[in-house]
Amino acid sequence: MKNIFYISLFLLISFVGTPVSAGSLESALDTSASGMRSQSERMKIVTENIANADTIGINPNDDPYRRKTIYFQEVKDPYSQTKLVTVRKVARDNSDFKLAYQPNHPAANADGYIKTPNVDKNLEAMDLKESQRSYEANVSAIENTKQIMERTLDLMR
Amino acid sequence: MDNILLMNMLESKMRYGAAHQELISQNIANANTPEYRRRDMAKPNFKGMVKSSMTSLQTTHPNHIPGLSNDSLNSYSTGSKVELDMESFEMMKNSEDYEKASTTYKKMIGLMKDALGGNNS
Repeated sequence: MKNIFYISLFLLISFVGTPVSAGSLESALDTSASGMRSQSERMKIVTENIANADTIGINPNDDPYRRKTIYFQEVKDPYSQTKLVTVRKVARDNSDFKLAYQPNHPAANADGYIKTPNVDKNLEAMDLKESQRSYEANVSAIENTKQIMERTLDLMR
Repeated sequence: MDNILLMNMLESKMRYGAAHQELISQNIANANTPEYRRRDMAKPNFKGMVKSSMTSLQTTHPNHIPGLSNDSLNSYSTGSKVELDMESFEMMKNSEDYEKASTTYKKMIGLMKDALGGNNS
């Protein structure tokens, strides 16, 4: 009886053979996590833009708040060779400032206009929405990967 | 012997599923990366799977040819941009396929346990 047990154990091990690689699933988790990090960085920039949508100078020479933009890039982790997403740079939007006619404002120029930030609140709101969607997509990717990992572990039960 | 071949095939399908999952995760993470183009990989075909499951030649010298390996998990870049809905759909399909393969695999282990007459729980 004992022999049969050992033989079956040996056969079972030899049948299972080389393990299904879990490495690619773990790097999938890392990639999704880096996507979430990048998207939350983007949300930070967008909310900064929205918060500063009315930030203007106090002198006629002052520039108001200039809109920030963010760019992503794909990088390869040198140790694990996992492909990750990071923030490439945060730049400034060089488009013209908007003008508003407010002759009594201390920052008004000779013609009575003040410069207001080049932030379009609708655009920022859409940007925020898109960022949120991408974030959610990354979360569901993580959930899916976890599910596959559980399936793999299930084979051992 | 047939069972082992079948299990090898299931195993290579699961390996494909895991690699594909990684690729889809990359696509989703890079949904807003400029200049990133969606990546895809060749689907496993039956003929290649059978071949790679059957031939496993051992090499004892670096100049030996190891035979066909099932290392065909190379990704390529498609020219198109990432669409999140499409990727979600692909991901769903992939995890379903994976589940199919792993459930079958588990069943086969169960069958073998049965055949061996061990006390299967």
